[in-house]
Amino acid sequence: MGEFVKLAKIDEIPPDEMAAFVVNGVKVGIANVEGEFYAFHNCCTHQQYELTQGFLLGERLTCDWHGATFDIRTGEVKTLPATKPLPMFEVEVREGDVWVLVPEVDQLDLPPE
Amino acid sequence: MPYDQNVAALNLDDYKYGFKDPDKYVFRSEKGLSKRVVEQISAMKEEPEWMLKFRLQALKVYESKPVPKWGADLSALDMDQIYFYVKPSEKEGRSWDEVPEDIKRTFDRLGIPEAERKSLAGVGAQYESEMVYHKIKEELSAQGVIFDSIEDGLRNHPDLFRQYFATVIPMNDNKYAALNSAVWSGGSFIYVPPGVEVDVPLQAYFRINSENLGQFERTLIIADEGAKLHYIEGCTAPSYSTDSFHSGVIEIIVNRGANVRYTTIQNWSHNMYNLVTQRARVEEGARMAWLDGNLGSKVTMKYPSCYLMGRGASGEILSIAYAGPGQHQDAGGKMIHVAPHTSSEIVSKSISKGGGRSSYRGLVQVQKGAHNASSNVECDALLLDEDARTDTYPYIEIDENDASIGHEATVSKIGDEQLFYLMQRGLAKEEARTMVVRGFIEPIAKHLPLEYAVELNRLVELEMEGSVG
Amino acid sequence: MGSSRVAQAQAESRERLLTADIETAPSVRGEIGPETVEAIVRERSEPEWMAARRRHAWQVYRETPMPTTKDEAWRYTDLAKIAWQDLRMRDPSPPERVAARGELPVEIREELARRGKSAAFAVQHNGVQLYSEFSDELAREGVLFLDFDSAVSDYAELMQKYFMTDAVTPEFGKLAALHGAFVSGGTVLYVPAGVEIELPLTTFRWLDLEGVAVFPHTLVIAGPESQVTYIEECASPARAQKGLAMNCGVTEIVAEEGARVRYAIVQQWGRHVFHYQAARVFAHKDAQIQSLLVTLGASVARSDVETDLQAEGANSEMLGIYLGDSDQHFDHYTYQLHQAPHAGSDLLYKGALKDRARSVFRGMIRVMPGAQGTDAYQTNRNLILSEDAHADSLPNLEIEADDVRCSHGATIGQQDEQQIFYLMSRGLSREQAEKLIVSGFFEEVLARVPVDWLHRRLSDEIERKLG
Repeated sequence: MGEFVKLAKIDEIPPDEMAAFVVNGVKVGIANVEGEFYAFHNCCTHQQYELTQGFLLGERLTCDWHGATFDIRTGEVKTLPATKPLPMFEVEVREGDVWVLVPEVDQLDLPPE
Repeated sequence: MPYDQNVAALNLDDYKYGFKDPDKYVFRSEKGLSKRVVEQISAMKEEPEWMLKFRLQALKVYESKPVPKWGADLSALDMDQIYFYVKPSEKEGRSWDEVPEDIKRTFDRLGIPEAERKSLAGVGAQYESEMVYHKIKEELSAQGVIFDSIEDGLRNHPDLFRQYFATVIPMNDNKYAALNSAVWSGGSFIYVPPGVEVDVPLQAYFRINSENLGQFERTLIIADEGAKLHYIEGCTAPSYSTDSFHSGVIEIIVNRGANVRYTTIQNWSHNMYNLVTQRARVEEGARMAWLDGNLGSKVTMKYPSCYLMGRGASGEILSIAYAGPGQHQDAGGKMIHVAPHTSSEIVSKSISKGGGRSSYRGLVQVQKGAHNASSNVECDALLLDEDARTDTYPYIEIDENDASIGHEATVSKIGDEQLFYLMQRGLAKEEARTMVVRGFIEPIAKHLPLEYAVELNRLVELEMEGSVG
Repeated sequence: MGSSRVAQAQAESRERLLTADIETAPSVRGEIGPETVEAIVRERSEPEWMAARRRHAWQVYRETPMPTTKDEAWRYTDLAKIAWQDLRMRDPSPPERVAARGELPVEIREELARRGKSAAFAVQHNGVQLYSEFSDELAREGVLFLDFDSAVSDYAELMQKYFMTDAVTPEFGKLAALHGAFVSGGTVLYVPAGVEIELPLTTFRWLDLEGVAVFPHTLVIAGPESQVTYIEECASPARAQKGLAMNCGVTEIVAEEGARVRYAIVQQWGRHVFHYQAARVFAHKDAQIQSLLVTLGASVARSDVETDLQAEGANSEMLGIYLGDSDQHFDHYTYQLHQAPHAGSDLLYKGALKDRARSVFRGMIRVMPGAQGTDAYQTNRNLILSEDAHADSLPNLEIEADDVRCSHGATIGQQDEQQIFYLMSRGLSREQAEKLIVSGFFEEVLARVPVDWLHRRLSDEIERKLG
C-alpha cells in the first residue's frame, strides 16, 4: 500500500517552511519544524483547501481559508472549524533527501478516525 | 391592498434608544485601519507580546480576504470612515459609583442599575470600545465563577485564556472574525467551574455613542463540566446619518454535561452594520442554546453555530428577525454534528415590511461518524406588505445514513380569514394584525426574559402602527 | 475482502477517469478552440447565421470564467477533477444513417423492443440521427419532428427565432456556452396551434464513444392550445467503457398560451460519461408544463432545470428521480421563476443513494415583485441506503411578493426500520423488504408519470438497479 517517494532535498525546505507536491493524484505537504520533517495530506479536513497555502508557526499549521489549525507533528486538530485530524504520512531522510510514504488515493477516501 | 404608510421610511424618532450624548473620551485612534492603530490598541492595553503578534497576523488575514459576495450588500461600508478604537474612561468601574457621570447617565436611561437590582447574577456594560463596568454577585465569585472584562481575563487568567482563546473561532474563519482578532476591545471573559450552576442570568449591555465608531467586542465563555450559565446581551446606539460598525466574536466552550444559554437582543440603530461571529463547541452530553433576536441595525449578518463534538451533545437556535424599511437581516445558524447521538433544532421566524429584507441562511451538517444524529429546522417568514422580501437558504449536508433530518419553510402573509375572524370578535383591523404578528413570534418570545419580551412586543406594536391602509 | 477489492478497483478506475492534472490545466486546451468551431461549420456546411451563433457562443465561453467549487452553483461538483477539457469536441468518425429499422445495430434494436408505443420516434447514435419514424397523419397536421441538422438547413426561420435565443442562451453558463459553440445534433419538435398528440414522441440516444464530447440539443415549441408529450432516453451499451465521454446537452421548451407539454428525460448513460444537461422551460399564459428528470447513469451528472413562468395562469410540475450507486455523483439544480401573478409551480425530487454515491439537490423558488397569487412548492426527499452514501439538500426561497403561498421541505434519512420489520414479519427477506420500501418511495413520483409504459419501465429499471 503506497510507496516511499523522494520528494525534495533537505535544504530545499528550510525550517518554518513548507512545500507542496502531487504524487499519483495525492496532494502531499512537507513541513520543516525545527529541522524535523513532517509530511501530511495537503488538504484541510474542513473544506479540502491546500494547507501549504496557509502559515506555519512552530508546530502549528493554520489553513488560510477558514483558519483551522493542526499540530503538524501529529495531525491533531487544534482549532475549529476542522473537526477531523489530518492524515500524516511517514517520512524518512536518506542521504540528504526527504522521502515520503505516499498512500494511494483511495486509501485517503477512508474517513480518518 | 394599499399599505402606503408602510412604504414611507421608518421614522427614526420612533427608536427609543436613539438619543446621543456628547462625545467624551480619553483616547481615540485616528480614522481608518492601519498597523499603527492595531499597535496602539495593544499598547493601550499593555498586552503580552503574543497578543500583539496575534493581532498583527490577523490584520494581514483581514486584508487578504475579499468582502463576501453572498449575504447582505456591504459595498457601502466605508472602513476608512470608522474609528476602530475609542477609550471612554481611564478605568473600569468596580462599583456603579466609579463609572463616569455622563456614561452612568446613559446607562441609567437604558435601565441598567434597575436591571441589576432585579437580582441578576452579574452585570457588565461596554461603552464605545471598553467595558466600563463589571460586577458579579459575591456568592458566585466565592464559588469560583469569573466574570471579567476580556482584558482582565487575559491579565488575570493568562493560562486559561490562552488555552481557549481563538480555538473556537480562529482568525481566518472569515473576514470579520479576522478584523475582530486584529482590533478586538471589550467584551466578557466568563468561567464557570465544574458543577457550578448560575441560575439567574449574567447580563451585558453594549452601547455605541460616537458617530462612525467600530465596536469589536470579544467574548470568551468557558462552562466547565456540569456547569450552567445564561448570558444575555443587549445592544443599542444613537441614530446617526452615517454608518457605524459592530463586529463581535463570541466563543463558547461548553464542556461535558454543561448547559449554556446565550441570548442576544440586538436593537442597534438603523445605521449600524452588524457582522458578528458566534460559535460554541459543545462536548459530550452538553447543551448549547442560542436565542438570537435581530430587530435593529441596517445590515446584520449573523449565524450562531454549534459544533456538537461529544456524544449526546445538543444544540438549539431560536432566531427572530424583524426587517423594516432599509433593513436587511441575514441571519440563521449552523449545526455541525460531529459525534454520535447528537441532536439539534433551529426555529427561525422573520417579519419583513416596507422594503425590508430578511434572509434565513443555515447549515446542518452531519459528519461521518455522527451516527444517529437528528436535526429539525423550521423557518417561517411573515410578509407584511408587497414590498417586503424574504429568502431562505438552508444547506443540508449529510454524511451518515442513519441521520434523521428535516427542514420545512413557509412564507405567508397575514391571512384575510385570520383578520376576519379577529375583527368579528370586535378587534379593529390594526389590533387584529398586531395580534396575528404577536402570535407568530410567541414561540420565541416566550423564551425571552420578561423585560426583553415586553420590549419585543412594544417594538412589534410600534412597527405595526399605521400598517393598515 | 473480495468486495473491498472490487470497491478499490472501481475507485481506481474512477480516479483514472476523473483526475485531471490540475497543475497544468490551461483555460482552453486540446480541441476547445475557435479552429474546431470553424471546422464544424465547414464539415456540416452550415449557413452563415448558424456559424455566427456558434462563434458568439464561443466568445461567451471564452469570456465566462471556469466555475470552481468556490462558486456557489458549483460548490459540490468540482469540474477541475473531470478531464473533460482533454476530450475531442467532435466525433472523428460519425456513424452512418440507416434506411430501415432492421438495419439499426442489434443492441439498439433490443433496447427499442423494451419500449412502448410512440406517435413518432428517432434514434440517435453518438449525436447522429440514424433513423426516425413519423406518421403521415402528424405530418399532415403540420407537426415537425426533425433532427437538428435538418432543422438548421430546412427551417432557418424557426431556428433563428428559437435556437438559444430565449430559453437557454449561451450566457446561461460556461457549459451552455460550450454547447452553443459545439452543438452536434439533437431533436427539434414543433407542434402547431391546437394540435393535440395523444401518444408520446420519443428520441432514443445511444452513446458508446470514448474520448469524445457530444452536444445534443432539444428544442420543443408547442403552439397555442396544443398538447404533446416528448420523451428522451439516454443509454449506453452494458459493456464497460474505459475512456471518458461527455454529454453536454441543452433542452429548450417554449410553451405558448394554453399549451400542455410533458417532457421526460431518462438518463442511463454508461459510467464512462460525464453528463451535463441544461433544461429550461418558457411558459406563456395558462401553459401547463410537466417535466420529469430521471438520473440513473453516468459517473458524474449535473443538471440545471429551470422553469420560467412568464405569464398568468402558467403552471409547472417538476418531477425528479435519482438513484445512485457505487461512486456516482449527481448534482441537481432547479429553479422556479415566478415572473407573473397567479402562476403555480410544484416540485418533487426524490432520490435514493447506495454504496458511496453522492447527491446534491439545490433548488430555488424565486418570486419576483408583483407576482401576487403565486403558489410555489418544493420538496426534496432523500433516502440514504448505505453508510458511505452522502446527500446534500439546499432548498432555497427568494420571495418578493407578499400574497403568496410558498413552502419548501427537505428530508434526508434512512429507511424506516419499523416498516422493514413489519414487512419481514409478513415473510419477506430483509433485502426484499428494503427493495419494496425504496420502490414505494419512488412511486409517489412515478404515479404522476402520464405514460404507462414509461412508468412501468422506470419501475423496472429502479428495481434492477437496487439489485
